[in-house]
This record gives sequence, C-alpha cells and structure tokens, in this order.
Amino acid sequence: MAKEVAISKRAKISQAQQYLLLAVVGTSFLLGAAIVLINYFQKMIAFNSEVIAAEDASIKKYSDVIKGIGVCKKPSGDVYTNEELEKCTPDSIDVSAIPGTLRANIINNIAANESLNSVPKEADSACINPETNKNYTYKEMNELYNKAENSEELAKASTLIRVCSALRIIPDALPASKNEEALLSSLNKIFIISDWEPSSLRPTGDSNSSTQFGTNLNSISVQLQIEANTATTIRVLNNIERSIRDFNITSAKIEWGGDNVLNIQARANAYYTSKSSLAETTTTIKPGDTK
Amino acid sequence: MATEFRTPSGDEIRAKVDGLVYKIRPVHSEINLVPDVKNDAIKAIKARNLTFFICIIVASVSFAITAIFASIAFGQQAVTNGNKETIATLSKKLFSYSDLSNFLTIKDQLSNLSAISQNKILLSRAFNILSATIPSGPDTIAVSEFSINFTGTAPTITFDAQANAGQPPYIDYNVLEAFKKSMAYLRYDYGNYVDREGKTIPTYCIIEYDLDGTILSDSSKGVYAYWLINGEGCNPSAEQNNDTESSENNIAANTTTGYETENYNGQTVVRIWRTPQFNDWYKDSAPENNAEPYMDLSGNISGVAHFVSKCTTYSGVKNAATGSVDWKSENESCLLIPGGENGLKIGSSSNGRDGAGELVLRFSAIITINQEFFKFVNPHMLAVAPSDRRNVTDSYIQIQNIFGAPASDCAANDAQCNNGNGENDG
Repeated sequence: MAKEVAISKRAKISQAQQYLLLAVVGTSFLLGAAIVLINYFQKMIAFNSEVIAAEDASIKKYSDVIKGIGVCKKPSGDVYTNEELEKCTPDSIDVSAIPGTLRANIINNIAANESLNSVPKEADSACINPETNKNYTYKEMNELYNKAENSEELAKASTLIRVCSALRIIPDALPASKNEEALLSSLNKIFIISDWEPSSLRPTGDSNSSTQFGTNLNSISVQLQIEANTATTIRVLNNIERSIRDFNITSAKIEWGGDNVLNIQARANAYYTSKSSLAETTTTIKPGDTK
Repeated sequence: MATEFRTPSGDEIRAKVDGLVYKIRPVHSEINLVPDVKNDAIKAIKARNLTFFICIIVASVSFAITAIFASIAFGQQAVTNGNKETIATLSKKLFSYSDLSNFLTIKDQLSNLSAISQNKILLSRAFNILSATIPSGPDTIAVSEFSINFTGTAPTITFDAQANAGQPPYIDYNVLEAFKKSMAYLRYDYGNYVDREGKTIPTYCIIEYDLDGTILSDSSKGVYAYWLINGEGCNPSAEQNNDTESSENNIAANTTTGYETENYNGQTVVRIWRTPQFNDWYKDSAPENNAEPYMDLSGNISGVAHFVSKCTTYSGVKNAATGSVDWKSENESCLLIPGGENGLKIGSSSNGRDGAGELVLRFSAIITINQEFFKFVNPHMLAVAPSDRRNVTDSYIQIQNIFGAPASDCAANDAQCNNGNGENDG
C-alpha cells in the first residue's frame, strides 16, 4: 500500500517536473517571441514616428501654402482639419475673408494701386463694361471676382483684373514669356517717343535660362546701335533707362562721329520669367534610415 | 515489517516502517508523519505552481508589453493612413484653385522686378564721369572713343583720347600726369530729397536737369532741384495727413502750404537746394520748430526741404570774435575711382596731330570705377570733380566738349610733331 503511494507520489513529482519543464520552455518561447515582436514593433514605431513627423511637416507646409496664397480661409489651428477642407471652395472665396494672403494682396492692393493704374494704357475692348459702355472700374472687377462661383467665372474675372487693372503693368515690366516681338515693340515705342528711328533693331538671339540674380528669371540679350546727334542719343538712352521694361546694359562703346554725332553701340539684357507653378515632391523614408 | 531506528543528527529520530521513513522529534514533541516522498511531491508541486505562476506572470507581462507596442505601432499606421488622406485632400484643394499659377507668376514677377532694380545699371551716368574727369582748363583732353564694361567685378572705362597742353610744348606729359593724379580726388554723391518733415520725396517727383540736360544750379548758391509737389504720390507728408476722401483741391492746397512754389514749364514746383544754404539756414528757423535754426553747426538740417546725402557731411565752426561760421563739407567714403591714382592705367601714348592738325599727345587708358556709381538704386547720383574742374553735368553741350575727332600718329616726315615741342599754327 505504502509502495503504491510512493509510486504515485513519484509519478506526481515526475509529472510536476515535466509540467515545470514544459512551462519554462513554453514561457521561454513566449518570452523570446515577445522580445522579437517588441523589437520589431519598436523599430516599426520608430519608423512610423519618422513617417508621421514627415507627414505632419507636409501637412503644415501644405496648410501654410494654402493659407499664404489664400486658397482657403484661415484654419482655426495651425493646420487645416478635414472639416475645414471640406468647407473650402477655392474658386469662390470673397477676398475680404482672406486678408494678408497673396491673393488678397494682389487683388486688393496691387490691382487697386492708383499709381500703377495711372500708367497710360492702350484701348482694349475686353476692358469695356458692356453694361456701362465704359472701362471697367476696379470696384466692378473686384465684385465680379468675389462673386465668382466656379472656376469658369473666376477665370473670367481673374483675366479681366490682370488685363484691365493695375496688374497689367507687371507683365509689361517683366513678361512671363520670351516673346521677342513684344520686346522689339517695347524698344520701338521708346524710339518713337525719343523722336528717333533706328536703322536696324534686333535681338542677338542669345538667351540665358537663368541669371545671377532672381529665381525663375531669364534674360534675352539685345544689341542696340544708336547713331544720332548728341541730344537725341542721350534722350534715347535716358528713355531706355526709364522704360518700365528693364534693359540692363552690360557693355557699351561710345564714339564721337564728328558734326555733333554720337554713336552708341550697346549690349543689354532684357528679362522675362517663366510661368510659375507649384511642384509636389515625394520623399522616401527607408526603415534603415531610422536610428 | 522491520522496525529500524537511527539518529542521523541529534535532533531527529527517523523510523522506517514498511519502507517508509518517519521522522520523530522527541525533544520538541513534534512528530512528522508525512513521508519524504510526499514531501518531495509537495515540494515538486509547489515548485511547479511557483514556476507556473512566474511563467504566467512573465507571459502576461510579455504579452501586455507586446500588445502595447503592437497597439502603438498599429495606431501609428492608422494615423499615417489618416495623414495620407489629409495630404491628398490638401493637395487636391491647393491645385483645384484655378488662379494658382497666375498669382504665383505675379509673385515671382514682383520679386524678380525688385532683384532687377537692385542690379540695374545706368549707362548715362558714364557721361557724368567723363565730365568730372576730363580737365577743361588751358590744358584739354578730348575723348575720341570710349567703351564701358559692366561684366566684371567693377565697371571699367577704356578710352582713346588726346591731350593738348594749350601752350608750348603742346605735347606735354605733365598734362597726362596731372590727369592721372586727379583721380584720387574724384568723389560721387547720392542721396534723397526730403520735405521739411524729413520724409523722402520719390525720385520721379524731382527734376534735376533742365531741358538741355544741364544740372539746375545757381552760380552763387549751388545746385538745386525742382520738386513736383502736386504730382501723384509726390508729397509724402501731405498724403499721410489727408483723409482719403479729401478732394484733390484740398490736397493741393494743403500740400503747398508753407512752401514757396514756382512755375517751371507750366508745373507748380518747389525749389530744394542740394547744396546747403549754410549761413541762411543757420540763421533762419521754422516757427513751428521753436525758433531752432534749420541747420546747426553739426550739419544737421531740419524744418526745411533739403537733400540728405549718403556721402557728404557738413560741419561749421563759429568764430567767437566775428560771430561768423566757417562751414566745411567732407566726402571721404564715396570714392569714384577706388584705386585713386592707380585706378587709371595708361595703355599707350604717342605724339600725334588731332583732327584740326594741332599737336597732341595721343593716349589710351583704362579707369576702374566704383560700381555703386552706376547703380539705379542709388538715386540722384552726381560725380564730384576737384574744385578746378568744370561743373559736373550731363549737359549735351558739355558732352560735345568732351569728345573730339580721333588724332593720328605723327607722319614720318613731320619733324615738329615727332620732336613734340613744336608750336601749333593756331
């Protein structure tokens, strides 16, 4: 009887030891797996944190650009929420609701600038208001812009403002396309108001896609030859220098031609910009980059 | 059934009955009736239970930590997905604005226009330099050709000229030497015209030259300019003080109040002296300025429209005995030829005759000019010549005087010319 008890006890001991071993092995396995998983998740968290930080920075940048340009009304916080974005309709915003933005500054300040607007403009039928049969006033153009409800109406009002308000001066001063004919036309106007007719006028054909200063700025090289009496030559030169379209003279040769004739051969740069646009960039973050 | 007693240690008695060992502790009156195997079994079960417990704790903690990490990681994934959607929406909104490219172009155009202005060069100022550098006394220098280059670090003027001493010997290297030495004394001056409140008057509101291109000046009082006081945006103080709703007439009436106006070519103008009217301004005062003089001995000017120079400073010393003031103007910083004497390099020189057949010293030279002089952003620029030079202007007549037909080298049989000490017929 005692022996049977002893045997059963020993069996129990053995079983307990087996269970113990199994428990230790199982737990060790679980612990190992947990360590592996934790390590994996830790790396994943670090990588995700980096991705989230980059995404947050992108969201902030997008928000700043949208806010700065005046695509949507200012957000309640630093960045736009999905609700605010849902409510935003970029092509139909009253510019008075987006003060201090690029859009408001251009429409409210530059387009309305009296000094710029006082520069004489050529007659343009597009600038005649069919209702009044007079040139559109800034107020009328601004009203059309603010009342635009879709991209088509906005495009119409925007073109009207760019062509008929003070904004028209900007492309005159610095066009957004190369357009050599327009350049020659500008020079020709200068010569006409200077009472001088050039024997020849031509761009050199040289153009640079970038200049030492300015971004997105290109130059066209122009060669000028003015041969006239001193007063006329100086007048032409002064009018070129006063022109709303800038001509930057890089080199010149001035000769005395006798009989009060002054001969100037100059090489100048005229400038134009390329049409600007926003480009999105994609940044790839690799898990290996995480330290 | 054998009974065996033994005492392995002093405290314990063990009895073995039917193979089972019993422990008997007689001293402390405690009898352990549990057999060893059962004890071992109990220990083993206890150890198993303890191990189970520890394993469960370890497994639970591991699971919990893993779960926490997993939930953070998957939570982040959810955040990332949300961010991606937000970025996509932001991008869509931004690019759905149909005027985006137009306004960005205008913004770029405006900033580039500013950059172009900062770098703009005015070639016409080159004539101003020639007027300042070329002597006009008995010894004359006439330029036949000059070229100017703005592409280097500093603008250079290269010119061919002829020097005539005006008296025997006509071909005199001293003229060239004096010309070279005068380079160190050339200065430039620029700045802004301000109204009596000290506010800058826009450059386009100032007339500095007459219709012939001669600088406006008075032989006894110095250089002045006309201020188009009623021009659009020309009166900074009045525009700030007036309501936007005021009528043009009201503005005109207010703007000219307190200024002595003149009529110049049909336009109402105010004369502003570029050259300070030292003694007048030292004596005169503005009533609203508590009888302070317009100009003090330190050269500070206030209460009167005047020119604020970026280069020239003024000061006065009062003579205690006579009460009169000796005024001094200084311009040490704005050197027209930064290299001074060395700023002019003579390339070649030879004896020759000019277009009129007079004996002259032919030479070619290069002058390196201060770049600031040509910059459009430096307004109302003027080259300042040594006092014995002509008044510096861009006058067409003076420009004519600067130039002359090119001279030619002496003919081989022209002994008078080759010796360089002959006399001119005239």
